[in-house]
Amino acid sequence: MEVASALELLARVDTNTAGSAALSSEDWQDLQARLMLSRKLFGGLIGDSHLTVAYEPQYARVQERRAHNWELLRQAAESNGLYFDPLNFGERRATHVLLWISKADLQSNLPHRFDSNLLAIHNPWAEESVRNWRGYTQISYFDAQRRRVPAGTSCANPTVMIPLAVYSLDSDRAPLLLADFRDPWKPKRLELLKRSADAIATGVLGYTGFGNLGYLSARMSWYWLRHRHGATVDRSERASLYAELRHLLALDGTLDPQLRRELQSRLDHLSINPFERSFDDESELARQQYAALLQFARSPEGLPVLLARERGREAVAISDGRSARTFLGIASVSTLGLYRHREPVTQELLALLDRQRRIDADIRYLRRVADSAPRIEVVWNMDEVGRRVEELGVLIAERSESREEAVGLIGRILAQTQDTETRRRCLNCLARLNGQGTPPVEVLAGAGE
Amino acid sequence: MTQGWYKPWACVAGLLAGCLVADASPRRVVVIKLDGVPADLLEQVRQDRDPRTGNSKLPWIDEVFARQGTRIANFYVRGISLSAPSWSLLDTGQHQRWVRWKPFTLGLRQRLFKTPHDLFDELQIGFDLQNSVFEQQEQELVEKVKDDRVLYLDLFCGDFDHVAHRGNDRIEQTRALQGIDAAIGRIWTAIQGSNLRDSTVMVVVSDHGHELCRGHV
Repeated sequence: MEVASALELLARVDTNTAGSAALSSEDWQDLQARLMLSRKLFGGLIGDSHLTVAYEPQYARVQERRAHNWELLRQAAESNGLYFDPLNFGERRATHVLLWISKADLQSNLPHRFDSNLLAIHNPWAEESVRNWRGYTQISYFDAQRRRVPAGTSCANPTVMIPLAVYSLDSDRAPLLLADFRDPWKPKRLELLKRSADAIATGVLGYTGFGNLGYLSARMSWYWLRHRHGATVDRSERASLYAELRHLLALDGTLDPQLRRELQSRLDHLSINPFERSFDDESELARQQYAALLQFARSPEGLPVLLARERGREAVAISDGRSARTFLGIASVSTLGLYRHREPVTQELLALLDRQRRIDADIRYLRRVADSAPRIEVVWNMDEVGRRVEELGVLIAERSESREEAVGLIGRILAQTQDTETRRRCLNCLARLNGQGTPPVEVLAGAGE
Repeated sequence: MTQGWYKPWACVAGLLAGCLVADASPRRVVVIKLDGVPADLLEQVRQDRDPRTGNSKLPWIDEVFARQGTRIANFYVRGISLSAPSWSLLDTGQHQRWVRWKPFTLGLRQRLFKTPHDLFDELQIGFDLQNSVFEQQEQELVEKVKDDRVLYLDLFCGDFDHVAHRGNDRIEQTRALQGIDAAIGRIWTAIQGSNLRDSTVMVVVSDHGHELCRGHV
């Protein structure tokens, strides 16, 4: 759930603003991809080269799901005479929808048909409680064609709107009801019912999936059918969607405060877990944890010690050879992680680490450049490419493990550009890396020199 | 959210590359057919600058068509929408008669026959087979460009249309256009490496636009 919240926050970061300039847009994307992959069993083992591939389909799937749910809900709302109001919490992408009913429509006494299949709420046209609504209302303005217009527009008619329900657009097959304004306990009742049914079947009647194949097949068939009909059968997904709305409400400053409070109180009703805290408690806890984090970062016994330990582990990769690293890895596994080799952190070691990180960053950048286009000067800023090539040439020592990879990459850049200055820089760099004053013959042959 | 409906009139916008501006007798035509790309959106994204590179967000379309070629907007207007099934009618005067399975099987093979490391990574990420046919067809086109006997080549891409039907997300639309732009770059480079580079016309054409609501979801 924390990962889902972090992803939602990162998706809202504008990577072009000054505040986020510490990381490039590629770094932000890599960060999001790594977080997405952390939810998969072996996601941590995926190489850097596949991070972009991991991020983009996931992003497309989310957009597709939202668009699908949007259209389903919009059509259902319009065919039932309700008003569809996307909640985008000040952002461009709407993740939730609030359905309203107009008080004027209610009082007109015109016959309305209502199909609750997708909406999962009671017929508002037939309920006295809606006609005599005393809860939260909002004034909206409509023109003569019943289109919503901003307040102050000429010929705009003010209409009192009554909120009915909030849905999430992020659920798998159909919009998920998160809050029912007339029946605040309804989503919780449904959750409790599902859990009780499970508890009675397994705890009281003793039916388990492994012990009773009939029960297993009936249960699986039921869930399959429910899923086919659009129900969100995955409990963790439902919990994640509830948490997402709570989170968005907590961070939002665009909604009417009274409406936000109403929504928050309805979501608080959903907390089934007795250990789950209220929103105010969670905010207080988050503040305390943030203060503790700051204290940890400032304390000489805190973050600096942790960083030194991590750098010591990172330095093993550059100060020890491959066989030594294998031996140290075996030692760590055989002692169940009690022993982990770390190099003592010195100024020389920090300088080496800094150099290796810059080499890695340059290689990643140049690989992205070389993979992107057959003629790179059409796509990339060649001053930056040339600068990175020169920097890489200076940074790579003759004995560096990355030398071979760097030579190959610079050779590819040389082959894929006709920019004279960049080619000159590539040739100089290759000559330096070759150590003989001339670039390697095989690289020149590949680049058509 | 996208309103996603075709405009009542079909918008056909064409881009013509001008490697043969100086050559009055083109011998070969390469046509890239795009489904549902609106000319105005394409132009807007082309004019946008990529903050990473300082170049256009569609660098190949900018280079090949805006700098070296020419663009024609709405050169063909009719009462009904053109779309994917109409392409074969335009090409051959007949509706599509059969399906060619080879790109599908070859594309699938290319996706699945990989190194164990790549296969493991893709297993975690989820196999993306959606573009496999287009990639295979693009690869076949790039191969055929080398053959001087082949004088007509075409490639159909429906990626943007899928994205525009899915939602009105500008980021996703830009990404789809950038994918098309990169393919145009690869094909253009292949043409430049061929013997007929000075007598090849490259045309990019879209069949219709989309009613995209600006500033909405």
